[in-house]
Amino acid sequence: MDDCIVVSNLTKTVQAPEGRLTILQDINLKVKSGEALVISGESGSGKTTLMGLMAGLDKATSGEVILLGETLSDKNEEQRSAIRQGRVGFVFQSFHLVSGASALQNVMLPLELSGRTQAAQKAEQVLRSVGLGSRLHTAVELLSGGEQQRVAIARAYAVEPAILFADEPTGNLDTRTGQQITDLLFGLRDQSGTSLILVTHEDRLAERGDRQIKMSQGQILDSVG
Amino acid sequence: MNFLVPRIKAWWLLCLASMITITIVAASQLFTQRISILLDRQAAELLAADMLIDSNDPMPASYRELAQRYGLQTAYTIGLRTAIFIQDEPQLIELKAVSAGYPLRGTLERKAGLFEPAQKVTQGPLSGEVWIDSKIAALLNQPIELGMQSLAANWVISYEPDRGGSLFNLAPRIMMHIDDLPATGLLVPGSRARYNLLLAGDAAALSRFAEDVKPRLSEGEKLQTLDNARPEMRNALERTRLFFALSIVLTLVIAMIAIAITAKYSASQEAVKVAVMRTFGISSRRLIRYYLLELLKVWLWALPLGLLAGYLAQFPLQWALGLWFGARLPETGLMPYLLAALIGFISLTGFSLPHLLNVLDTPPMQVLRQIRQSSTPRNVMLLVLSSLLTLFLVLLLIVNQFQLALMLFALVIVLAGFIPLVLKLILQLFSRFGRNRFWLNNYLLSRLLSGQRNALFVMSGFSLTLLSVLLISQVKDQLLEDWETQLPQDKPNYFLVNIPTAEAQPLSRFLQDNGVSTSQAYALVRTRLSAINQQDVKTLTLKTERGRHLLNHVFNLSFADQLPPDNQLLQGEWLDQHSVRSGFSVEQGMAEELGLKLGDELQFTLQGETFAAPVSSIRSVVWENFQPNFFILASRQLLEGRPQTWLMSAFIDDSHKALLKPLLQQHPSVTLLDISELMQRIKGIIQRASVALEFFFGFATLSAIIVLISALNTTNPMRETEIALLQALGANRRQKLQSQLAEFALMGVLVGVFAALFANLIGWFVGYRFFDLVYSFSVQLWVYSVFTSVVLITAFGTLFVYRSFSISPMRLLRS
Repeated sequence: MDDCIVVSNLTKTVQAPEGRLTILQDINLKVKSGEALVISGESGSGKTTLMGLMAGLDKATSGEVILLGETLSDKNEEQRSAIRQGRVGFVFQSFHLVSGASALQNVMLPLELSGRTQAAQKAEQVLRSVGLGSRLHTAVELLSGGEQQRVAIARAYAVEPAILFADEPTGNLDTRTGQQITDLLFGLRDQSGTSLILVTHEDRLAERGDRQIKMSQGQILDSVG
Repeated sequence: MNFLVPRIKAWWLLCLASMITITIVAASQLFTQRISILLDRQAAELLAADMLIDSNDPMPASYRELAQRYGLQTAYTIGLRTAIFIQDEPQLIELKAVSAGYPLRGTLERKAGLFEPAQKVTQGPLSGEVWIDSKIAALLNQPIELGMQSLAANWVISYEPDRGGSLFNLAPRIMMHIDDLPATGLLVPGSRARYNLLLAGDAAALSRFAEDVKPRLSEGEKLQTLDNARPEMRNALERTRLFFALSIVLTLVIAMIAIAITAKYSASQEAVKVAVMRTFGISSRRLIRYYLLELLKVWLWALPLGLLAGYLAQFPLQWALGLWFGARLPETGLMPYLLAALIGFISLTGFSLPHLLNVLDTPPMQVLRQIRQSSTPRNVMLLVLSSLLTLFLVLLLIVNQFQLALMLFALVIVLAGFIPLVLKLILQLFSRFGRNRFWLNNYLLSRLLSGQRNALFVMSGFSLTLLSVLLISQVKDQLLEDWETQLPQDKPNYFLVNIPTAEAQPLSRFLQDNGVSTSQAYALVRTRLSAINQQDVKTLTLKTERGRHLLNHVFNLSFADQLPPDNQLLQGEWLDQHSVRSGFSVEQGMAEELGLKLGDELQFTLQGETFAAPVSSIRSVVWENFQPNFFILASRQLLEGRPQTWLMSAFIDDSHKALLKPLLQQHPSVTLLDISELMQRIKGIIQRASVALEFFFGFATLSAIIVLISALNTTNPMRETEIALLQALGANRRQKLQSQLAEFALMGVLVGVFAALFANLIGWFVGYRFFDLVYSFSVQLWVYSVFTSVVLITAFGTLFVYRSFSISPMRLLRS
């Protein structure tokens, strides 16, 4: 199995009032295609920063990330965006849906941005698969939190990504809904074979991954699985 | 100094919006007051003064002494009719004797010979000089026998600012110095002369003088200002003033939208701080005090900056308009600054405080857990009431009339509801199309329809501004171009007056045979209104100055077999030559002033004889059409056989001017009155006012841009998140740019189309209803409207969101 992400000697520092602050220090990591990797750790441990760097949403201070065979360090934002287009999906804790648009339109958006044809049919199909067949034309702000996260998952899976990044996907949901969303995420991963990189601080969710890495103070503390 | 810096987040934005409001009020008040004073002065040229006292008898010296005590300039004129002999034929003339200082406003123009160039002078004839009308220019440099004096005519008068009053009874003018009048012996006790004391000076002093002198005026003495002078002037000025008032209101409303949006944003930025303070147990009362103090600090920052900017705005304005008007703009007092400061404070607190109170009322847990907060019905009510009250107070302060403020308030409320509603409906309609695609059109529509975007506020502000600019431009066109173009090509430029009855027909034929178009000839019977419903007019008490003026008016009664052009019958029936009954047709404005209704009996006195008849109709008159117009038209049978002269108007173009000499030789008693000069002056006033207004709408555009900037600042975090999301979803730079630029361009197109559509609709309605114009679709108006709004909104919008394009998508993970 190929590696879809390779992280080598990755370090991220930022300028803080009290001086330079190291958020990630010398991280080395590989993610296999189709693998479900869970990054856990306490608040401020650097797990979200690591995920952002792996997805090319931010630039590292030093070190290297190879995403889907492309080196990110020598790419600008535009080029990194091109690498992600149609191959990487995201699910966020705060859903980040386009308000004022319907569930269907939200799922059509990444398909149309990547120039896919028959976006409406594809989006409808994915929405049905996440159980929202009856809510296709409902404005997203009228949906419940769980339904909104389902739309976000459908949006991420619609482009049939090679990798799906999920940042605390159940963080804003109650336990029961969170459980349903977790089942949905892993179920779709099993069906599609998409790699899943999931950031969470919930042990229950972390246990669902093929592999789990625990982070503390910007470093990988432990790798299980 | 640190304690003076407000501790409200985004206070600088609130300060900027407040500053702009203060600037707009200060600048617009300074501007409009100056222009208003200047326009009054320009118009005052038609009185040759700011005000005058008109009397049939010599006036007591005390009036002049009183005027001088108020620091006013004064001059006297005495007008009387007399006859001179030209080639042994008597010729009626209008003699005018003027004192030093005449004219107090405007200038005279004189010529050394009939075909010599005109010179502008600010002083009338000196003692020993005689100036004569061009009609009797043949007498130039010859001695003229004026009573017992023989004086040589030195100059031909080519323009006299206050010539007229009544346009129709003008015999040739002879002007001389007042000191030379006694020696002529023409002025004896009982002479029918008109004595005028001309007054000019500071508006406040004039007003105080008017109040002081009014109770002292005896019967037959009238105080005349521009407002109760000629109806065509009064109409032009009233429209001009109304435009000014409306423009200020529209500009201010747009400025206040900017404050309201900024206040909402500022308050939302305070939510976390308030929640934390509330968890520490700080009372609402203490928090309100705290925020009132902070708002006061914001106002204190905005005040000097706003006033300074308002003051500085005067210089380019003064420069531009000074050049245009050819005069330095008059000074104003401190009032505009005080008003600007007060309005700045009222609008800042009125719009900000309810938003802050709403934040204080929000349970801290909702804020700290980032649960979307909704206002309680009580707070929504407070917000609405406070905003409405603030708006009304500001309008009242600006227009200073309760009823007008109420009307404008209602208009603003209707517009405030109507414009966003129409725009929303248009957006919703568009979003029904192309449902199979989301990117880009429907994505943009969903952004504009999003309540948090404030896009409807921005578009409404811009639409209102642009609509106002277009409407002013359209109304100006209607007032100027259409007014002219609607008049026939051969619109009259001369009145021929004093035509003896026997000469009316031959004269009309002479002109028509020579290809000159003339109006119908109207008989003129000079008479006085002596009783209404058998009550002597002297015993009538009328509320308005104008009404009293009309009662003392010498009426030029006439008759017409058909309703004259541009007259419209409003009530009653038109009595033509076949009617058995006799009656009077009264002009609508006069009927209102005198409280006349159909059936009221009017009695007139002429040379000791009286005649009476009921009011048979009430009609409207378009005074500005420069056709012969009459306050009262009588049935033919009431006037036939009475002493009368005739009047007609004619269009005499340059190619026909040569006819004038033989015409005046054949009809020596006829006076030719050139009215094109008067028409030019009235046009000039309207033109200047509209240019001033167009300049003024620059401020409205500035406010609309502030609304846009406030809305952009308010929605910036949202935009940044959207851009970051698009980036995370794989959008390239072009698509990200498209998402913003196309949104602004779409807003621009909608605003442009909305403004052009409604400007055309309102223009059509106004033209159809009030001017009887045929609607003409203006392509330029649409192009101008859409182009302007697209360029403005896209340029400023892009300028403010440009930095968002470099936002890191990591923002999505951190939010």
